[in-house]
Amino acid sequence: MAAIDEKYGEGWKETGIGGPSRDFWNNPDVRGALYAMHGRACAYCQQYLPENDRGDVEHFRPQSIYRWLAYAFDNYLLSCSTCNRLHKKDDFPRRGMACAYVDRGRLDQEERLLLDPTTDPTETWVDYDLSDDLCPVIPASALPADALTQVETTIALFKLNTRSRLVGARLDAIDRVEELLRGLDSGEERNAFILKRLASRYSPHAVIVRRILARIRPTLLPTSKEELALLITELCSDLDLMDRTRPSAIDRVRSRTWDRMRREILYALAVIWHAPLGSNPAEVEILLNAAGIREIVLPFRVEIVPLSDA
Amino acid sequence: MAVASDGGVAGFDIHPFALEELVVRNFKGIAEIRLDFTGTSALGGNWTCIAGINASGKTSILQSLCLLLLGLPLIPEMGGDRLHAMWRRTIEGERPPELTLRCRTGDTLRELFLPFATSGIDRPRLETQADGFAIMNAIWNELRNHMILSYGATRNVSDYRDTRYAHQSRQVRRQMTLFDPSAQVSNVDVLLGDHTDSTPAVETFNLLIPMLFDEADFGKLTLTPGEGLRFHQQGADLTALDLADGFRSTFAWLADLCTAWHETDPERSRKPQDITGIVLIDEIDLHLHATLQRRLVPALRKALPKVQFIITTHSPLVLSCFDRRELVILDRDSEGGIRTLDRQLFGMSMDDIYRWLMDTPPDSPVIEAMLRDADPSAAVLLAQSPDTTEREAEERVTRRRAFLRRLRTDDKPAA
Repeated sequence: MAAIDEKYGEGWKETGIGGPSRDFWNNPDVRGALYAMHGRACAYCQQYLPENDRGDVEHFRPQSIYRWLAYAFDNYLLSCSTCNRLHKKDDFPRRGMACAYVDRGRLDQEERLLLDPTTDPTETWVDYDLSDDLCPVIPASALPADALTQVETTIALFKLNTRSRLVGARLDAIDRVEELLRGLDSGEERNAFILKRLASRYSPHAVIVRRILARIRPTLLPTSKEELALLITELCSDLDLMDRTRPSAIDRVRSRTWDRMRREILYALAVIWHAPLGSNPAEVEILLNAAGIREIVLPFRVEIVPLSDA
Repeated sequence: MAVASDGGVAGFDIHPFALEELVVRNFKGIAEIRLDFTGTSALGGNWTCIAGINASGKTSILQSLCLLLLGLPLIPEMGGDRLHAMWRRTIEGERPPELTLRCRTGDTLRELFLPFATSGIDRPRLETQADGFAIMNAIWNELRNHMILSYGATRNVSDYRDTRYAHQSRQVRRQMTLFDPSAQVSNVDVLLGDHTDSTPAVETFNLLIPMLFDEADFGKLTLTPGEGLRFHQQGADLTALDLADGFRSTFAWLADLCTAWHETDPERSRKPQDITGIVLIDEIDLHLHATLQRRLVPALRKALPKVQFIITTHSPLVLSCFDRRELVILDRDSEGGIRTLDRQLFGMSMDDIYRWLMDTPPDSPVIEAMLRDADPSAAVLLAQSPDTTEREAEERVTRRRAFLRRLRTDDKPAA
């Protein structure tokens, strides 16, 4: 991304003319960094992003309105195609005008009506009505008016309570927790580990899982450090699976896809190593070493920020 | 090239004949659209599949192409009123259609042009095209010997004799189901057994059917000249009229194709693989069960490799049989009215195709409405799946409810 600014300057951001034309945001380094941030879950609806819908690199502020933010990493999220293409599209609900490049210093004063999953305390702003069989997402009680509007607009725009698959998957997550807890109480010790993984912030539908565990078994909530270790383990096992299913070199198209996806995982690990949330680089390095992939990740780590600068 | 006295061009060979590009202007709902037919794939055969939402112009495109292939000599048989109904009508008034087809005759790229006028085709305007007019006429004359077939979305077989189109030439009558929903597929006599002179067509049909279907699909099938189609299902002896709708409408066009192929020359090869021509089919999946929708196009590619097919469909199962270069996705929001696909569909599930290509959520609108009304009984419906019966779903919801109630009453301190 820095390379883009270097190459194209800032002029196009002000005039809206020229600038990069390619969708650099789909490059493996960007996707990798987003996996490091969101795991494999949609930032809006928390649905799992399977292999055939690996998520869109979504512009929180759409590039059709905020052209100057088209190549700003802070504006990127990982989102499922349903949220992005069917529901959000090029919308950005707000009061007043869209913030222009010349006013960029006041971007955070813009009266947006959507929750920003990366900066807002989403987890304390939303709740679930557990007395309803459908356990709908609702705004937390006693929210300030602005936050309340944002939560309500977000629920309505992404249809978080009316998409049948989404509601079904959320209810499935509750059933899974119930089942695992029942097993744990009858001696299935391993279930504690599985529940921790389900409650990790990088897991699909983690918010409702955490809400339940906080009430009933708070000791099972993972710490930030545990969450990170779980994410690293998951990325390592993805990498391992990829290495065991490498397509033949003759199959050029599949080889290219394979190579791109593998690089995404390595960038994700490199980003975690560089700036681990709730841990420190040295501990991440130990985990990578233990998985035997420190040497593979290292070049990617150096590429992001040279070690001497870190 | 010599121009003959009748305005035609003598010694003109159009073979091999291939469609390259169609431009439709002011035709019914279409302002302007361009279709490219040159996209090739490694899948075999020569196919173009047009998809889009309803009223996006699929049928209009097939009709335009059909008219261009019939050409000036035959179009008047359609009738002036029918042609005038094809004009584009907008708030600013009505505009006559202009249709253009670029095609390859041998090694040469040619252009067929059809401007409409109040009386039908604007012949004076065509005549001003100098040499072009003579060449177009020559191509249209040659195309009369080329097998060109159109099948509309209501094609069917019945023993009712429709005489409305009796005055038309066979070449035009064969296209009428595309223009008139109540018209019949013209040559189904062979299926019904009231045609005595059908031996070559029957032989071809009998070779073709086993290439497309299994005996398990409809039982044992026999087609005998003069006797029509008989098939045996669960001990019963049945006729073509008793076939399931999907088979009947598919057999109808296949039988018509076999008859048309042998009509000009009964000595032609009986082998389906040798059949050449252009076939337009509106909704190829008509009435077909999903397993057959899935199988039909790949089977036709093998059975009729030299026929150029231009088809339309609403079926994701049919769409997933095509290379992206063979697909034309009509989409008013895209530039030029056509969405260019930047990826193949083969690896996608039907859900993916509904969502990604057809902008349709692949789930039941009933449950969606219940969720909008916050109807709690939706919980039991959501829990049902291929692995979960209604009773099991009810148990699950009851267990979940008890769990959540305990959660609320336990009131343990939060972490």
